[in-house]
Amino acid sequence: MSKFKALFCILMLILVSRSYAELSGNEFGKVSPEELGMSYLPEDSTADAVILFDIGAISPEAFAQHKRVKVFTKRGTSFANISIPFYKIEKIEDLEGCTYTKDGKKYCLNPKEVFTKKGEEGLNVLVFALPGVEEGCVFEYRYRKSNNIFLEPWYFQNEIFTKRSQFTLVLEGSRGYYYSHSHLYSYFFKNPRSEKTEPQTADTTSGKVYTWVLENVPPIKPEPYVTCINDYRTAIYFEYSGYDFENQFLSTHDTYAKTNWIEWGKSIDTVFKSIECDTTKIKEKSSELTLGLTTDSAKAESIYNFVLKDIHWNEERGVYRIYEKDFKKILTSREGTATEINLLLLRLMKSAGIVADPVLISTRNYGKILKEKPGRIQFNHLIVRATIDGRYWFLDAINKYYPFGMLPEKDVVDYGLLLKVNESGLIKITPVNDYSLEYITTKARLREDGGLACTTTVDFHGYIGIYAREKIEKDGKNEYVKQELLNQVPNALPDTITTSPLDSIYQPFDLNVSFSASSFASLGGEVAYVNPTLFMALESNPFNSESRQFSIDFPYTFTRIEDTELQLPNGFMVKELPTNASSEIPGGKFSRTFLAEGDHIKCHRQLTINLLTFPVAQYRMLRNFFQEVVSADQLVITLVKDGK
Amino acid sequence: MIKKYLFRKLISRVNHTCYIFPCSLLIWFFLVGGNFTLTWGIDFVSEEEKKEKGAVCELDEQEFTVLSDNHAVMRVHRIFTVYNQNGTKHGDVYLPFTKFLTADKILAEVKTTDGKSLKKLKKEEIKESSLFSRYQLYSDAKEKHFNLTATTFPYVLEYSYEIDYKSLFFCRDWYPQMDIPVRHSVYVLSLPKDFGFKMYTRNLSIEPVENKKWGNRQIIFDLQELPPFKEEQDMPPEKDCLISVAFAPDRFKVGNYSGSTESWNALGKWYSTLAEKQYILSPSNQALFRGLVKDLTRDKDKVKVLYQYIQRQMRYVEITLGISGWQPREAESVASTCYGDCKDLSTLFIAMLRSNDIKAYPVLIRTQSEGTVLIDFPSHQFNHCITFVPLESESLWLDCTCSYCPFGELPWQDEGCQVLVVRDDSSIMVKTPTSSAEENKIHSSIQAELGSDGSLEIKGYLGATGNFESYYREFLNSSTAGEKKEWMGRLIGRYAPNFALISYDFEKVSTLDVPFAVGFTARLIQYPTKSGKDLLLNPNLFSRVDAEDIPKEKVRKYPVNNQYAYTTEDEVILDFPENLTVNAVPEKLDIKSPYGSFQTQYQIDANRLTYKRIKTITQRLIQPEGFEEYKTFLGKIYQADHSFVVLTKTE
Repeated sequence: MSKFKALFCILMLILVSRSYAELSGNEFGKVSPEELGMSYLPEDSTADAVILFDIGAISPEAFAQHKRVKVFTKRGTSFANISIPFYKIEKIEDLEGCTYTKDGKKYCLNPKEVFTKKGEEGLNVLVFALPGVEEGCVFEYRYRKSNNIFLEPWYFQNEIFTKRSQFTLVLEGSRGYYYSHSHLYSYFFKNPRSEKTEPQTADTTSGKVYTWVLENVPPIKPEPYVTCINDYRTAIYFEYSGYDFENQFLSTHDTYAKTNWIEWGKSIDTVFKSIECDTTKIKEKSSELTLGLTTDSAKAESIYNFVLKDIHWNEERGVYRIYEKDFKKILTSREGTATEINLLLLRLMKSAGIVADPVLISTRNYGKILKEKPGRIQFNHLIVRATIDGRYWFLDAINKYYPFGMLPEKDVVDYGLLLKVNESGLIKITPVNDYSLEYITTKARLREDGGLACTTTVDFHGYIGIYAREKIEKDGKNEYVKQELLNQVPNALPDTITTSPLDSIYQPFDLNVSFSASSFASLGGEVAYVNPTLFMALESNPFNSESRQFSIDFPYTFTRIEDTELQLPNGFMVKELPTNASSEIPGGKFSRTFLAEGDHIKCHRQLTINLLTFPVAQYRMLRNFFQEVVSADQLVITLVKDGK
Repeated sequence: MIKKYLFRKLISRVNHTCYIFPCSLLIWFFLVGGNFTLTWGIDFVSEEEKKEKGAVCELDEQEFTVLSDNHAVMRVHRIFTVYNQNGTKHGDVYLPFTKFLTADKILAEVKTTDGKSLKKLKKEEIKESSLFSRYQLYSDAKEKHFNLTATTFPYVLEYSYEIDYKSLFFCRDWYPQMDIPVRHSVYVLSLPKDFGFKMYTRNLSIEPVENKKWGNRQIIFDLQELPPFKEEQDMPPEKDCLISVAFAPDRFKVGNYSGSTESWNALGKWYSTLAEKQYILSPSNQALFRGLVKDLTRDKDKVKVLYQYIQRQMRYVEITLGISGWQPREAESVASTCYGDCKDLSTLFIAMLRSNDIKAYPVLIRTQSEGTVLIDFPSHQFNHCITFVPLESESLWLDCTCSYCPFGELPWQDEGCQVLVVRDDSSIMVKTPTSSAEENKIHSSIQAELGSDGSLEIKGYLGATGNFESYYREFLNSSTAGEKKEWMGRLIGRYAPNFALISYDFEKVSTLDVPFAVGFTARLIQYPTKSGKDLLLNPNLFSRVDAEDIPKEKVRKYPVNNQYAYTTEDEVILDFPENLTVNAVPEKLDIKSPYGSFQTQYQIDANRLTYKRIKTITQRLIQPEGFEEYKTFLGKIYQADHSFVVLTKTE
């Protein structure tokens, strides 16, 4: 019996062994009148569609899925365009799909209307549009995927409400006359939503079956300022963690399972250490880079700067896809994945006598790690920890604008897995230089015709500076100034633009612009209003929603300061200066102050956010904070004609 | 340059046309790759531009050789000098291919600037994958892709390839400009002696050179020192602005279908042949569609019901297989699957009308964002299909892919386009109607009350007609309930520090039979700005011209493209507390310009302020010579939209 048939039989066995009343309607083609008759979802009357059930079953070699959806609105019909990704080695078989309308019609998927989109790296997508889909209909499809090469996570939570999501893991061992052997797997839940996470289990002749069921799962909807939505999505993840082998003939029983971070770290470290490289070339290069340098910090910086500037990142992380033949020639090819680049950095440092170890992390956009659930699949990136003069430096040499010790903001996470044989384990990541500052100073002269002439200097530090460098490198300084700096100044035309060198990454980056803006202020009447905050004023609250589900992530902490010195036109004087404003919350601070000195007005504006993540309970506070900021930013100086 | 000229002279004596190019290519690789230093003469590209753009195209050679009525080969050869990371994208090359086009003989190499080879492209580095746009569920088009770069700069990238055309229907226009400087661009069109074809040049004043060689014609365009193509804000479609040469054979064949471009009528006949057998409906479906309108007597009403059936029941799904990119599916198949692309839905619609004895025709159209059709150049320039229904008293233009277009209205993309109405007897080119500023309107009416705490309670609605209506309906009906609410919040809170959305009403969004309107009540928190004892209140809550709306260029090369003429009308009736008086109001404005008009009115009655604003843009395209005046016009609107009514507390 093929593995798939066994899988489905087991699945059916489980289904049948449960209450039929509970499971009636799961059989393909048997759509109940209640399902067809539904006109809205009681849990959410605005829902466009609902997943009636989503049933999956997986064994290490095969995967099967059966999904049924009820459509309420025209928008809901778009859920009937289906895409199923699969690797080249995998095969999608026994695909069936049907639509059932309220007036009793049935439309079935024509195999000729099923297509395969071919991807480049062996990842293809099977696509089809279920026919006859209209408001009020129910559609379903099922398929199996054989030669399954990954134990994919199962997402209980979807874009729309899910009435029932059921997932079964079938583990079969191999059994000979004198021996038995089975693979061991670990799993973990993300956001179990207080549901039971222990599976129902059943024994089969050659293994075990585990089933998880969740019901009435609300949809998950992305929100702005969320770095990784999967951190909040109810899902279960699996990982191969060991084996159990018994030989009755030899009376031996061997169980190996990785159950803690030390064991995981050790096994991964062994893999990385086994990747060969050209040690002669490494040694030569390391010597060349450290020639004449006496301190570890100077050596480390020299090696880091070489890797940073000379080895190009091909945009792949490649943490579990290292090809030895590529790694061996990285010094000549001058290109590699992030893992290859940082492994090269590690080996060069070790060759120079610097204590350095690899550290696995989960980047911010990949999700937070569950410390209580040791496993390899939680990580997607490799960085290096160098120990220099008793201090730890975390290094990632993939982006040429990040100086020594500064991690890309995606790497700024709480924990990583240190790979160091018997010292492996979770460690705290402590980056340095992760603070950003943008400081704009402007000398402006308001002309009698209402035009403005300005000289502006922008000083960048930290991540803000890196973004500016990247943007200017990509689009040119003229475009950068137009789109990023002068976008709030009407009719602004730059005259001259200069910047400090883009690649002097150990120096702050600055930009100097002189520009003019015609019709900046209307000075025709007796009273005029001028807002001297030219660049950083917020026109509207970035936290628009009245409520929020998830915590708020900022890409980095920062301070933004704008100082303007405005010279008034002849014939005008200040009638009213805005009240000085300030506001402070845990993690945020704002102030805006004014000072009049003769025909000059000075305005200082400063906004600081020094918390990377605000918990959702603080959303209202954060929203109100920005309300204060926007209110203050809209305050204007009132000018009157002299003598009025 | 001299080297190349002599080189051409040399190879022109060597062989038949179709062998010249590959021979020349091989010789070129040998000469340049091995023993010669690349010298390009005095540089027309500044160091700063090299740094900013990252690369210069030293040579772009394309030769399109027509071998027979239905077979051609395009050979492409390019050389770039890459100065930094910005320029590496030119080594990332995608070559589409289909049943009718194949991409082959791909060679690529990176070298140092003194000719030393760094890396050659290996066969296994050329990847193949499916090619499809985001609008397509599936297409059988594929692409070959390679990415060849070096890591030390500067370097020279050189590649060549061939595209084999199994149908001349697909011969492509020539666009010599790039987003980087191009030192030398050459296009050679090689044709058999009596081969009928035509050409059309755009934005190009140079005439080609014609040669005759062994019975073949050669037409050569040779351009030097092309500056990079620079985009401007709100510019017309690129294809209208780029230098280009369009080519079309007089005759072509796609699959089993032959066609001609000798006239628009001839081209229409070809499409007609493709589509003629596709209007078939089963008797049961014919009966169904007759039944839908059986109680109606006027043809226009019948058309409306059937059109709304398509809008409601069908979904847009594009699947392109071979000829199906141009030939619609059978109407019966579209009806049973309830999905199709633009020509499929149009075909079904026409079949539905025909089953009710109403004449209708497919219309081939090039949508606005793809550029204007060259009316003097019959050829397949189209990317979309709509329907034309000539009734006795009027004509209707209907786009079956627009789920929320009011009956009888076209989406803006289809307006003012030269289109080919395909009729059995004679196909004709006509222009689709253009909506007026009055027809495309956003109007808002708000009742507001200013509280003593500085918050503004507002209640009102936003209505829309014409293109605005289709846009809002399409957008809101594709959004979840949560997304609709977010949108409302962004609209209301656009200029307020904070707001609370109290209620909203989207009931009229999905029903096409009622005018579009969304209602709301909200509170704008801390809305008026304080200045001492004064409150500065901007009564324009929604419709301001902001700084980013004014094109930034000092001087324009290309027109400003507004997409369509429109009007926005806003009225705010604001009641304020008795302890406040109006100290100042902005002056009333009535500005007229060749591009539109702008009026504002402020009326004070006791404790009530009535603000009215009407902005009209009458021109879709603002020509470069009028840009200065247009910018001044927008500048005045900006100032008016950012003006305040000053309210002062009375003692």
